[in-house]
Amino acid sequence: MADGLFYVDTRAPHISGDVPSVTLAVTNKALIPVANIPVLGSNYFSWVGKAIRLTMFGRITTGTTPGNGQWNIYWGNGADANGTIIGSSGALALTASQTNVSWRMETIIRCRALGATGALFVTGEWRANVGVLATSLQPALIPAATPASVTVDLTAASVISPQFLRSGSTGEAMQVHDVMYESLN
Amino acid sequence: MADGLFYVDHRMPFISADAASVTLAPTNKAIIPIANLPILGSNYFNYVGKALRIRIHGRYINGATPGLILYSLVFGSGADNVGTTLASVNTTGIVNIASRMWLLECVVRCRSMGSSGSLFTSGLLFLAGTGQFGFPDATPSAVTVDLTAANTVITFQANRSGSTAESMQVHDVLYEALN
Repeated sequence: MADGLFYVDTRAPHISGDVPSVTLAVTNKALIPVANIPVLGSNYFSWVGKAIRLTMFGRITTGTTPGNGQWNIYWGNGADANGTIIGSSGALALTASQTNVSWRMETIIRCRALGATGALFVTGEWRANVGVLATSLQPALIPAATPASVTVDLTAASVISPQFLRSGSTGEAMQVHDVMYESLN
Repeated sequence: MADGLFYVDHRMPFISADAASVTLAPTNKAIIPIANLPILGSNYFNYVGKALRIRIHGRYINGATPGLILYSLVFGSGADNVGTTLASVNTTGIVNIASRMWLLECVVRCRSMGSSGSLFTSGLLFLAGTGQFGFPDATPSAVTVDLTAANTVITFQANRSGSTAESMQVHDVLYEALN
C-alpha cells in the first residue's frame, strides 16, 4: 500500500480533445487555453515544499526560418505573456521545415516561500523529435543553467501557464494533445 | 476517481532550498544531505514489486581535468562512499564548465525481500551538454542488498577521476512511493 497521506492526484479539468493549434510569435504564446488549466485558488501553495508536476505532449511545425524556440512557464492569468516567468529553457535552435513532429515536456513547480512575497522554483525538461531539436541540444533542461526561485504573489488566484516563443519569422505552430497537472503533496 | 489503494504518494521531507554544493573527489561523495532524504526504515520494501520513483535535479561545475565522472544511486546510510551501488553511469566529464544541469529519473523496484533482498533500478540520466543515458547505462540487473537494515536511504553519489575542482549541487529532490 502507499506510504502515507501525501498522495499524488491529477487536477481537473482533464483534457478530452486536442487544444487549438497556436501560431508562434516572437512574444510568448500560451499553449493551453485557460479552460484546460486548473485554477489553483488563492494560497494554493500553502506550505513550503508543496509541488505540482506539469506534463504535456504535443506537436510542432516549423517554417523556413524558425530561429530559436524558448519555453517560459508563467504564473499569471493564463493569457499570452501575462504574469511572471517562473522558469525558462534556453533559446534552442529549431530545425526548419518540420511538420507535426512530436515533443514532450515535464516540469515540477515547487513552493519555496509562502504568501504575497512567495517563491516558486521550476525544474524540468523538454524532449523533442530530433527532426526539430538536434540531438546536440538535448537534453533541453529547464532552466538551462543557474536555477533560482522566483518571487510571486501566491495569495493571487493564478494559474501555471506553459508558453513558448520563437525568434524566427515564418509560420511556426504548436499544438498540445495531452496535458496533466498533478498535485504531488 | 482513483482506481484503488495503490496510490502514488510523495515522501517527506520536501525540499525547500538548494542543498549545499559538494566538491567531488576520487571516491564517492553524497550529493544529497541525509536531511533531504526519506528514511525508508527496516523492511520498507515489504512485498515484491513495491517501487519508488526518484527524480533529482541539479547542476555540475567542472574544472580543467575532470576525468571520468561516475554517477551512482546508492542504497546505504547516506554517508559518503557507504553502501551498495544500485545503478551507475560513468562518462567523460566536459572540461571547464561553469554550470550545467543534470536530471535523474528512475524507478527502484523490489524483486526479492529480506536480508538477501534485491532491488532493480531503471531510468534515465540527462546531462546537459553530454547527452542522455540509460540508468544504468549497461547490463541492468537486480542488486542484492539487506532490506531488513534500518535507517537506510537511497542516495545519489558521484566521484571524478580527475584532479580539479569539480562540484555538484542539488536543487530539487522528489521521492514517490508508487504503491
